[in-house]
Amino acid sequence: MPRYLVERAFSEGLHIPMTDVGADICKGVVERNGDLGVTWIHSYVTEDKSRTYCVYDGPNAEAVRKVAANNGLPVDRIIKVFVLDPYFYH
Amino acid sequence: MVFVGGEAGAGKTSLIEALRARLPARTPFLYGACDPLEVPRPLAPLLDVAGGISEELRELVSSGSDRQTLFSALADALRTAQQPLLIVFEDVHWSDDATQDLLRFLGRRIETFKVTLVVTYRDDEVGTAHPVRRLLGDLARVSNVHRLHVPALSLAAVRDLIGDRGLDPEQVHARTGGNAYFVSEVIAVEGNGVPVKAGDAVLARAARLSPSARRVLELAALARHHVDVALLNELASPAAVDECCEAGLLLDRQGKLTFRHEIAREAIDASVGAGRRKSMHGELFRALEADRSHLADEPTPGPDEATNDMTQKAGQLAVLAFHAHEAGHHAAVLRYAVAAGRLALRLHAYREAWLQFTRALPHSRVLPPAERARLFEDHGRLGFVVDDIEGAAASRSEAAAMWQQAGDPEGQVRNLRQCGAMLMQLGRHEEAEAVLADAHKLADSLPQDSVELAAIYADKAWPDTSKGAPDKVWIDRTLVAASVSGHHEALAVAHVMNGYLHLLAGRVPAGRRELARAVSVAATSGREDLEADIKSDAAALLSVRLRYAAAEPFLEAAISLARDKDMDCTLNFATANKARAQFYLGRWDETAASATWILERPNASKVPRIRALTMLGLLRVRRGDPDADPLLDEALDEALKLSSVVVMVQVRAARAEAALSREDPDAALLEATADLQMALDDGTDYEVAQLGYLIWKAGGRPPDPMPRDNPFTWQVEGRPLQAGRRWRRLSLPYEQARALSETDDVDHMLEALRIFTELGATPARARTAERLRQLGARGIPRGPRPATQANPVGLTPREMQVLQLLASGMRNGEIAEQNHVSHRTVDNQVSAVLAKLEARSRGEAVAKAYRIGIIGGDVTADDVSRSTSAT
Repeated sequence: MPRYLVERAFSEGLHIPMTDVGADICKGVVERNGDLGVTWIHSYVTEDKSRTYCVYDGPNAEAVRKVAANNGLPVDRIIKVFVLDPYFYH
Repeated sequence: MVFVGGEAGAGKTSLIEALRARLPARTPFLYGACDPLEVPRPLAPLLDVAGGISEELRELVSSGSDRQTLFSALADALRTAQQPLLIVFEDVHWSDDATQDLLRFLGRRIETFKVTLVVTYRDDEVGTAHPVRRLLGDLARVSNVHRLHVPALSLAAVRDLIGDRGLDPEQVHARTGGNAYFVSEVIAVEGNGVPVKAGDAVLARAARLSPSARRVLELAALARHHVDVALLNELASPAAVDECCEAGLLLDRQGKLTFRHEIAREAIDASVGAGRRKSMHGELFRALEADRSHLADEPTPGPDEATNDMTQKAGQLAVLAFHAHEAGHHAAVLRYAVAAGRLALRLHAYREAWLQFTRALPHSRVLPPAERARLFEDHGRLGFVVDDIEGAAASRSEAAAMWQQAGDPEGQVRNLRQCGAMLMQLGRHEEAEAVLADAHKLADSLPQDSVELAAIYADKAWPDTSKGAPDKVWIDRTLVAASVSGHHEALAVAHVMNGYLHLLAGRVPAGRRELARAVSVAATSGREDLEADIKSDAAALLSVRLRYAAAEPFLEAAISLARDKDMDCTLNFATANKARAQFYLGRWDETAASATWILERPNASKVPRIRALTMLGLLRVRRGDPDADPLLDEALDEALKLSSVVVMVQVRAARAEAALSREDPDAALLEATADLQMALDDGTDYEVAQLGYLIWKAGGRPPDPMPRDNPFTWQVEGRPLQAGRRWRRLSLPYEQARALSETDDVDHMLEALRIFTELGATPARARTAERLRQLGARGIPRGPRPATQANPVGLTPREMQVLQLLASGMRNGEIAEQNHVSHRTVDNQVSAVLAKLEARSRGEAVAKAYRIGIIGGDVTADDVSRSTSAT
């Protein structure tokens, strides 16, 4: 399954509390993603919480956009990526 | 509405039984199920429950009413129910398209019904491409639609179930993977102390039954769907049937026997050897035939005759054909499959009719030529409807040969023509032309009053609809001949061709009048397949002139007719054209959905598939999303095999645009010029102008002269504003913005930027912003405005605003007033907000929203109490 880097801008910042509520929010996102075979691997969040770079597995870009809409998340750009790590060539 | 998912045997049904036991004693409980049949019965679960909802609904269902009528009657009944109902639809992973549409329809309105609808499915059997997955996705954000996963049993649960039976819980848990059904089976055979493989538990249990009860079990397994108690009583003995029920392997549901679990049915089914299988199917067949053989002899009711039990009768005939087929009774297969097919045809269940005829064909040699010809002709007609064009062409060819044997040249001509048209569609042009030449030669010898003449003239008016324009002289002859002979199809087609001639000449209103005339001829012909096809054709021709907004209502109507009647060919074609219309009209999410739908259809024929690939590819190009190229490459490969101007130009234009977007003008030029000659020879002015524009964009020399009075030409000639106005009138926002971005005027370019931003056309937006900066413009909005105010619980901007108003203590009525919407709308919005925040009250929702931080400021007790008091 292809992997995507999804860039999102949050004009008022992304706020997910470190509580059960936050856990539920993330779980909700994961479940809604599952409807279309999309998996959220993890995200990088800028210090000011205004942008995120989210790593996703999914069948195609349309599915990634659709689940973003279902989750009420913005999408600025979707880039297809491959994994490279320091020991890739060993 | 609750979707209960779990693997086979997880305990979904037991959960429902437990729920039922807890309900007040007289709560109406209605049970419908989907069966593992190769041809799912359309709307099977609705069929099961209709009688329990209302007598009127039962009659509507069994008389084969159309889907629209059924769905709205059901909605009315559920809305006005005397008391709350519990309806269960089991095993929807086996459901047909119509049942999925029904669930979608009900899910979206569930809040207005007095019903709890429980839907079970095997979640391990619905992969990402499974239609049920899509159904769940579509209903994901609807409030009051919930999902429940039934997990495997934990070790502790297995220990509880075993109690003091002296089995090792850990071992049972490991062996069964915690599957509730297997656990219960293993516990049930525990007596002999021999460990069994979980799957064998069922067989081990069956082995302890008496021989006659085992026979009942096997017969019930082979019968597949719910089988009458009376039938099994007859084939075995009532005592044997009782024994199965007492052992808990079969359940008696209102006189029908069903396995307690499908796993058990599959296990028993698989254990019956080939020889016995055949003879038992024979037994079932004979027993069923004994009191139903008259069914095949009854004449198929005419189109105006409504008989209440037609659906049921069609089902019984299909069951007879199934058992006859499995038992190898060839003559009986022919007899019942043909009868079942004819009745299905009368009920407009085209796919089912086609499958029955497919089953009958190999045994049809015994029929006299004329009857055999009719069978092949019907099979060919249906093959086209269900989008098996290859098979349809073969059957048409066979039908023509049979009519020749039967001495009926008219039938021969009719089938040769259709065979030719289908070969044409398959891209087998030479074969097609040879077959059509035969048809036309033969047509010369037909009498002057033959009904086929009009159709032949229509062929001559436009021999290959994939290129060129129709010939007015032959259209007029078609009109005359069709009016004389009453050939609806030829008459409608003639009006379509006339309409197209008007459109080509730029006489749009006159063209639309002719198309409307064609539609009304088709609508009054009483042939729904013709009506759907003509509407779809009208839309396609309007699209050639870029009148997508005008085409859309025709497409919607064609799609709804085609879906209702299983007309896959028209459905695929019209849906692909809808993807194109939505794309150019700027509704890109919808484009993605329509195009993906086509690409996931296993049987979609080439033209719709290429179109879907092209639109999705171009969508990715314009959004800046990855993987446009593989789609556009496949589109080109397929298009090269077809040699159709319309298809080819679209693919080349998309590929040229993709090349321009990755800043490769040389490649763009190659793409745009590759089939320019074909467009110049056989294409329309729009096709030539579109390629010319892309050549110009790529820095090449567009054809001289460019087509007149065309927005692409104006852009090439440096009149982008004029073009922009035309694009706006045609409602094509991207094309409009692209033209505006070609001006040097900051205001127009800012307008282009706004449109690109709204569309989500990231690359074009970036290019425009860059040019604006070069022009020294100030105040260029930074980055795209997020489409939804981002928040992690999935509230839409409107719901966010409602939440803010709730937080400020407003009542629903006040919110309605402020937003100029109805109370009902606000009620719905508020319940959506509560559902997404998983809050039980408005106060709780507001408090939670502050806690998560999706609404700003510090929450005070006062805020919460104010909004609570407004609840």
